This record gives sequence, structure tokens and C-alpha cells, in this order.
Amino acid sequence: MRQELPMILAFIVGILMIVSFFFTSETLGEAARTVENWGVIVAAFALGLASINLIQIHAKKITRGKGLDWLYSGALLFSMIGMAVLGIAKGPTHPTYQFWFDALFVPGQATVYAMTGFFIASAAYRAFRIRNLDSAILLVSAAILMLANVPVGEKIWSQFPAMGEWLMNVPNLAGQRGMLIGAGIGGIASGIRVLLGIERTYLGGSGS
Amino acid sequence: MQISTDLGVWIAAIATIGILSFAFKDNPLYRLVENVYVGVSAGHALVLGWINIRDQGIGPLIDDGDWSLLVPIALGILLYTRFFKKISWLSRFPLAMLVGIGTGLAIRGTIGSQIVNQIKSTILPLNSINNAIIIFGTLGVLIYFFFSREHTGPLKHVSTFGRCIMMVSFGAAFGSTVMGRMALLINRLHFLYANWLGIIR
Repeated sequence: MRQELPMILAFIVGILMIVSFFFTSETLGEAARTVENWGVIVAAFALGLASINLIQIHAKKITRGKGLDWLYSGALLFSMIGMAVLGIAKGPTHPTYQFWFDALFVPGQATVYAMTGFFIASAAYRAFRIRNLDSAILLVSAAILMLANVPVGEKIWSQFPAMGEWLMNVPNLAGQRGMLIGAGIGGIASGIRVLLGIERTYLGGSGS
Repeated sequence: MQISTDLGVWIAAIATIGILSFAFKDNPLYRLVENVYVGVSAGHALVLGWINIRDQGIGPLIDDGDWSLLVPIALGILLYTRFFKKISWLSRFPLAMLVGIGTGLAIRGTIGSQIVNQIKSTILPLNSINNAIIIFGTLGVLIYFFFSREHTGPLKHVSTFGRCIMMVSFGAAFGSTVMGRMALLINRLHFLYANWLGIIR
């Protein structure tokens, strides 16, 4: 029963979400909205669980870590607890919270994503070596699109922007559409497996 | 040249340089900034989570007397039974509810936006080369993923055409990602040169 009851709950909730979308029943719609709202609250509790997990891992690193691990883990815990206490006590709109948010979170996020530019460049070197027709097509479409989006592309050949636009709106659209439909069908099949209890890895191994 | 005197700008500049320094090699400054960034992100997520619990759970429960909200609050608390071995199985209930909601929302969203709308938009009149590429390109990609029959004869040509169309898509996605990441990098460098060092305007 410890496995079956949660599976039944997942099935009922999942079916409610699907059925409420296809039938114009006010009762079903209201029930689905309520359950969706409940999901937001439960997910918020899960964030607390994740934080406890993070604290456990890094507390262990502080006490038993090698080299400068204590410093890195200490900095992580200090910044996490500091932000959480400040945000919960004063609110996320408080100037002090906003200061640390703007000074650390915003530049950190932007720079981490910007950093991937370097790795993409090295990945491009490997991917763009023309070995067959597929990699040639990949190289040509990527090169056209990049040249279409920078001013120098238009200086080289005035038709690059138009070519880039055509590439995005015609063959790229067809490819994306085919992949979306394929992935969608696959996603629905996986979802049905979860709701019917065929796929139950999410129940984990916390006792039977 | 006028270097910034704003403490926030200095902290942001050190964080930016720390993360960018990884392009050279892994170093203590990068690892320190990386850990601080993870900590700040986790703390921020925790604050947003608390706001959700307060505004959608505890607040309406106390102010409006909406007792039904005791259900998600109790389910949320059940998540923490994971730390007690004997009753850890109880944490499956909130997890099952989240999986049920997520799966249900994903299925209904997929049917509408990823299947019905995409098929509707693909049904075009065959009166131009562009429309023909869109129709046969989409069909080619779908046939490429059709594994119930061996890809021989005409099916092989159609699936090869589908693969070529996918390569164009991957190339376009790659090009767009490179452009996006480069824009972010330029933005960070502009921040360092303009906001921090004051070398450029």
C-alpha cells in the first residue's frame, strides 16, 4: 500500500489536470486550479528540503574537506543563509537584499551564461570540421545565421540578413516542428506511463 | 577614465572577473565566486519559496479561514519525513502529487501547443517552394523518428531529407545560441569597462 496509494494519488491528480482542460466544467476547472495552487505550496516546501540537503553536504565538506574546501563551502552556506534570513525577515524588495541581489546574483548569472560562449567556441571547432554532408549543412546554416545577425555580415554580402531570415522561417521551422511533434508524442507516452504507474522511479527507494 | 566608487559595482566586477577567470584555468577565486553565487541563488530560491507558502498558504489560511489549505501544508511537511527512516515512505505522497500535477500539465500543454497547433500550422497550400519545404521537411523529420519500419527504399530518401532539415535546425539553433552568449559576454565586458573602470561610455 505504501507504493500503491501514492501512485493512485498521482493518477487522480494527473487525470484531473488533463480532463479539466478538455471539458468546460466549472467544477472541474475550479478543482484543477485548487490542486495546481496546492502544488505551488508543496513545491515551495520542497525548496526547504533542498536547502537542508545542501547544508548537510557542505557542513560535511567544512569538517572533513580537503584543502580550501572549508572556505568554499563556508562561503556557500554563509551566502545562502544570509540571503535567506535577509529575504524572509525584511522581504526581497528591501534595499539591502536588492544590493546583494544586484551585486552577486545578477552579474553571476549573466557571467556564467557568458562563459559558455568560450566552451561553445571549442565545441564549434569539433562540430564544424566537415567530415560528411550532415556537418557541412550544420556549418553552413550556423555560419549564415551568425553572419545574418552581425553588421559585418551585411557588409560582406547584402543578402545575408534575408538568407538568415529565410533559414529561420522555412527549413528551421520545418525541422523544429517535426522535432516538437515527435518529442510531444514521446512526452505524452512517458506521461501516461507515469500516471498508470508503469514508470515509478519517482517513488524512490525510501522503504517498501 | 573614472573608476567607480560604488561598492556594489566593485563586488559585481570581482564576481565577473572571478567567473571569467575560469576561461584561463580553474583557480581559487573562481571556485570562491562560484560557491558564493550558488549560495546566493539557493538563498533567493528559498525566499521565493517562503513567499509562496506565506502568500498562497499560511496567509489565506489565517486571514480568510480557508481550511482546505491545511492539505498542501500538511503534504509539504510530509516531505521532511525523509529524514526519519521509519516514516520516510510518507514523503511519497507529496512527491506523487507533484509528479501527478506536473505530468497532467505537461500532457495537456503538449497536446495543445506541441501537437495540435503544430499540425494545424503545417497544413499549408502547396503553392510555393517555401510551403513545400515546410510540409515535406516536417514529414521527413517525423519519418526519420519512425522506427517501426526499416528505412529502405523511398523511406530512406525521405528520412535522409528529414535528417538534412534537422541539421539546418541544429545549425540555426547553434548559431542563435552563439549569438546570445556573445551578446551576454559583450554585456559583461561593457560592464567592466564602462561601469567599473569608466574607460568607455
